Amino acid sequence: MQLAVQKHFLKNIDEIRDKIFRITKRILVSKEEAEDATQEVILKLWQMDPEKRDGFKSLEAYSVTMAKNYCLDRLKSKQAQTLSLDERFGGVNSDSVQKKIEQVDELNLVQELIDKLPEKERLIIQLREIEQYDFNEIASILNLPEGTIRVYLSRIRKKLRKQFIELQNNGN
Amino acid sequence: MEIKTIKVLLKKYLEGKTSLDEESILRDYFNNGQNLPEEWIHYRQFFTYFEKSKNESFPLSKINSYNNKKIWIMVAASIALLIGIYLIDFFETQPIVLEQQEVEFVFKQFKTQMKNISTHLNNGVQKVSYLDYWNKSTQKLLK
Repeated sequence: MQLAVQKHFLKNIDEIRDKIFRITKRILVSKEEAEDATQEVILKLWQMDPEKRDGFKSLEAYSVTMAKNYCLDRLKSKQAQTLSLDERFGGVNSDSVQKKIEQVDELNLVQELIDKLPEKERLIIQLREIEQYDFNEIASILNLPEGTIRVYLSRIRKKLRKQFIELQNNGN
Repeated sequence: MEIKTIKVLLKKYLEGKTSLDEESILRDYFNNGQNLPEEWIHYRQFFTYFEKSKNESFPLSKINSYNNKKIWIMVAASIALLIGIYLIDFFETQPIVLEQQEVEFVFKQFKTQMKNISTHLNNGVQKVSYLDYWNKSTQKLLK
């Protein structure tokens, strides 16, 4: 009986694992840290009371929320311990960005620009543009009203586009 | 897809007002479309990046290597433990050498103990033998 429950969970989690990984990677930026975080979140889910776990309307939404909280906590404690976030992500120093652009292709440029956003904005981009969640799902994951998410998203899209065009023009 | 429609959708997109369906039209257009207008080329970079990122998956080999690492740590720990126990044993136990008298004393004790055990055992056997009587009488009745 217990075994069947855990097997069911493993089957479910297989589909969710990649999502958790992409989201944690988007927040933490580092691939290794994202791998650890994903393991950690899945372990937490695994250790949960199966009845409680099966009671969720959507295990996926719950897991994503959990992953988000886990990563933000981790960033917070890291920030307190060591470098400021700006240092960590290199800040938006146009000189260094400029140099990097010459080495990377344009797809990476998009990634670079996204990586330089604050973590909340990165997360919104990930949830909407890549995981393609509905606004109400994103709202419940981030615990913010739908309208606010739309405003955020609009701002981020415009910002990214503007930065991309500027960098491209400077590069040519 | 008509350029006009795309233009309208892009405007909505930047305002954060597109639905998921509308965004998938845009994604499709910029990922697969031919002859994009010059001023929209940069959108292609974004949408192809999003599309590419969607397929990234958790490196499964990590799970195995994680477990392997754990297993190796456990193996190493148990080997270390065994060696440790062996060494402690090796240094602490000295060969047991008994004098003739001691051996006799121990043997005597052993003998008396065995005797005790056998008398008690026999007590039990006597009780069990009643069962045999009972058995016989039931058999008589059955006949």
